[in-house]
Amino acid sequence: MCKVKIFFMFYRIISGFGEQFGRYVLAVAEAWIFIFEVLYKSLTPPYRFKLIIQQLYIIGAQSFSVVALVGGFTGAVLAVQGEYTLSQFGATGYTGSAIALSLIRELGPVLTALMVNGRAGSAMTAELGIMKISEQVDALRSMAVDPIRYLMVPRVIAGIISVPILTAIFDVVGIAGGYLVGVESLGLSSGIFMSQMTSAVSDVDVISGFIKSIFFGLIVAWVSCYKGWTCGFGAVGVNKATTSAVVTSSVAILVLDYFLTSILTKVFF
Amino acid sequence: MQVVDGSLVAVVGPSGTGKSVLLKLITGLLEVDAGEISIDGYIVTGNRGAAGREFVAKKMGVLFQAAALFDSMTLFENVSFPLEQRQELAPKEIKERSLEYLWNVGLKGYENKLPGEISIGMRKRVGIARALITEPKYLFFDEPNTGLDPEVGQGIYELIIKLHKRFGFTGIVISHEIPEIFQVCSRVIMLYEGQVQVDGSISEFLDCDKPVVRQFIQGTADGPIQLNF
Repeated sequence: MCKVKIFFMFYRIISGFGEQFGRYVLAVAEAWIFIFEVLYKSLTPPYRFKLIIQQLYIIGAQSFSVVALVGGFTGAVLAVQGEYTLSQFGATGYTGSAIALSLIRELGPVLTALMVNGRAGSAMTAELGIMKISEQVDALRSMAVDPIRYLMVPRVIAGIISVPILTAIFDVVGIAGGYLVGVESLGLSSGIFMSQMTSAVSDVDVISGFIKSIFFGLIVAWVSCYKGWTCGFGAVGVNKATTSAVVTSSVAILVLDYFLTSILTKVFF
Repeated sequence: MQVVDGSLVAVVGPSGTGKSVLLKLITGLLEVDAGEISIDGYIVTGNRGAAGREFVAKKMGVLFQAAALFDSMTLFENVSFPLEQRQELAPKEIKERSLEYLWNVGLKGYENKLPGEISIGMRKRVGIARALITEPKYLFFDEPNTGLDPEVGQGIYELIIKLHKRFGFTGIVISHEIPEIFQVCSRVIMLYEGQVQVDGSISEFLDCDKPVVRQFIQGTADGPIQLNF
């Protein structure tokens, strides 16, 4: 009797795990089909430039202040930490290059994507989810308007364009923040700061940061749109979709960052 | 089930019986598992590509249960949206026609309001104007009175009658409100568990002796209709 109970307990655990895994595989497959459809439709007419510009404003322009603020303070923190650490080795002259390389290669793309994800990605998921549950998506379909083309394509294109631009802004403001703290507050030499920075940073660093930011922009828009598209019913459904979108995108950005860094380091350096 | 041109038909039945699903099947928002739907001889089932969608959209307009207005657009933009998507009219004509239809549903002066700034009754009026603006041959009303006060609901029924007289569309009104719906429609189709229980005039519906129909008309809890609560 006891053996039978244990058998059924294990059976339930394994079948539950299998069911969960099956659901996960299905969701991943759906998400890939979704993004392929979006990308295919973004390359084929009709093109909706007005909607893309609208989304560029929402995702890009409206994220400017938060990205600039975070960028400035990140640069400032890097200056303080960099100056302290490098002073242990008598190498404070390298503070400028350390700040610039950290920002351009790594922190700029990652933190910008995380900021855009938190500010615009979550809003995107919530908006699309509400549109779905309040039959606005059905209303579009009933008017022969393809919701993928009308809602998803502009957001994904805007995400891919916005994040690299915002990353560039993050990098510039970050370097300016680092310069201000390093030179004006910590007393580093302005000339050394600038010359070390310009000699350390190469085109390849900028290009690798740019490539990363394109992928991160795609991830944020893809996950946010997909989670809104597959949102469950009611306020709980929107809540779950939004939380899941932010968590999934954030994790995906960090995981992808590792792989991209590995690949780009091998390719470029 | 067939619908005569220019008529107003009520599709009634208890909640969860498939009325809204029927609407979504006809308008192509859901795909049928079996059977066939043809609109003016054009078989729409299994033909949901771009051409099929265009055909259905040209022939049909839908007022959704909660109006389904686009939150980010003004009332004017909501009403003009279907015309702008078609790109068949000049911007000036689109503007004139959109204003005319908004005024037709009694919303003069509300053009620049957002859906969130007006009542649900007004939102339904805007939904009707948006569904009607392309002058479709068939107009679907999914529970037009849901969530409305009785007097506001009566106003919506009167608006449907007025617009039907003026535009002559074929209307299918999904509802579970009897006898209120009888003032709008001359024919009643009752659905229960996805099957047509009765299809006829108001008197035929009221005289039907099927237990399911009798229970629905009398509004009693005892009978074959399963109440899921």
